[in-house]
Amino acid sequence: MNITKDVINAIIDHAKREIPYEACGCLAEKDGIVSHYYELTNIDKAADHFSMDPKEQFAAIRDMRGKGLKLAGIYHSHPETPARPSEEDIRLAYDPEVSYVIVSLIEPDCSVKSFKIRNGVVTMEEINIIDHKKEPQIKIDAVKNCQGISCPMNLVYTKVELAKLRSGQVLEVILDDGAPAINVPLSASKEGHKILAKNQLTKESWSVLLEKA
Amino acid sequence: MINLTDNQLDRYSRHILLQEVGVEGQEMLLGGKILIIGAGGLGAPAAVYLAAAGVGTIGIVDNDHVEISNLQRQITHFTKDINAAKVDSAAEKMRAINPDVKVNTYQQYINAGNIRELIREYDFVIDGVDNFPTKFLINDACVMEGIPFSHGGILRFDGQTMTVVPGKSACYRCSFRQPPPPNAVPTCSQAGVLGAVAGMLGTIQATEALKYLTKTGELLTDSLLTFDAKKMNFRKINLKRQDNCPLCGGKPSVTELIDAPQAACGLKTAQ
Amino acid sequence: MQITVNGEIEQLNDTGVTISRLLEIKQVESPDMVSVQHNGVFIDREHYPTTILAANDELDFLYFMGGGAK
Repeated sequence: MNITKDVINAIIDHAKREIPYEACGCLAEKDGIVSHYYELTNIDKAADHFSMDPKEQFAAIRDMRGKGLKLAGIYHSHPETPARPSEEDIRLAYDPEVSYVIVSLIEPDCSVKSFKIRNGVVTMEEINIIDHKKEPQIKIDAVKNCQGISCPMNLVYTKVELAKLRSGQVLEVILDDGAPAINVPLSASKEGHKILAKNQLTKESWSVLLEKA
Repeated sequence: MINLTDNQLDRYSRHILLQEVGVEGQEMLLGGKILIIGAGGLGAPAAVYLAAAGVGTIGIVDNDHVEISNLQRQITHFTKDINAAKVDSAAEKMRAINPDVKVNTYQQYINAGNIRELIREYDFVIDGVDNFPTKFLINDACVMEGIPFSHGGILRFDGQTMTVVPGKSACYRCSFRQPPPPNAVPTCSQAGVLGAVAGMLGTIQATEALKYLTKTGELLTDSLLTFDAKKMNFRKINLKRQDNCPLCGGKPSVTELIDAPQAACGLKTAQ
Repeated sequence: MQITVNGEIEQLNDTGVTISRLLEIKQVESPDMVSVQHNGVFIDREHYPTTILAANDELDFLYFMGGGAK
């Protein structure tokens, strides 16, 4: 799961504010990156389980639609237990597509973990934190301008440039807004490369920083 | 690293997009060398796909000339090519599909005397020959030289193929031992074959060659893939190296190549 | 008894069936064009009349198939 540093910090903060109760909320993504969160009320007001306020939940979904966002995950906190799904969490996980993010407050650095739960089977997924504020420090090793190049050739050129780099080096690709800006970074991340940053440059173009796997 | 031109990036874009192939895999293909023995029903479709894929060097061996009865399935040969040498006809089409490919033509029969030297120049061999003595010759020579190859056979609506990695997987002799008695062999000419079935089999062989060069997936080793196109049933029969194999077993009796009498299979007279 | 021939389960009513007999039962047209694998082991042609099948044996008929240069 790709998620911005701002969202990670915000949900940890939310979890701390709700102590001793579990905090809960929704995560929303655009173009494969979780960039929005919705704090919801835990109507159970309990330290070991949560129920989201259905009205707030619907309001969140409506807001996502309005902003062109997609539900990416459900987060909640474990004030006194580690960041892994409880039996109840697994039993109540109804959607195999969304990520279940758990913030554990028992460790001092507040561990955040994400899981997919399919038919009662839990698999942990990697959390890739995207820190927009850190961008200026990223050393860019190569730049490829793929403006005006449509799918899938933009991905071909991106792969060619990545092939020239060593593992850990960074490629900046400039992509057209729309499908190219969504598809190219997603495809690259599926092949193991890391999306370090994604910024809209102009109305028509995006910059994507990819770290070679 | 080979620097692909923009033109090549476009041409091979659908390979480059595959995670398993990518730029590196395409470069392996451009550096790869494949020998196709037989420019017929199996060799022709294999030649077309291997050339299109950008395999850098493709050798093609056949002594025959194009006949009108070939055209129903041997897709590198066109009506205008009747009477032309098959290797020239095939090479012309391969170069037309992809000028990146270096095509070596060998207008000759392969025999015990020339095969080892010929295959030594290549990374992988495709058996597209029409007679059993030559199939055994290819198997024996490839095992002796340690060169992997794809065996292929077709009959009416049926096809079979296996990939042999010498020293690692079962060879053709592990399961078939020796050529069938000459009188028992129904050649393709006698038996007939649905043209597209040759294409199905030849393209499977080409796929194996491409997988081998790009080190992708799992080769069709230690198994015989057979299919019956009438019912479109495919089946994979597990094979294993046999310790009593006369070629690659513990006590081999086949230690040198022998020319099978060409007339034995009756094929040279069966048109 | 039950055996598997070419991946399909077959019922044999007699006991003492040899590979030669099985080739007849299965009406294999030209037995010379078949190579037989018995429980994954290649069987020499000369042993077809003496190899007796047992319950749950797996038999594969591998047919000789040529190419297509002509």
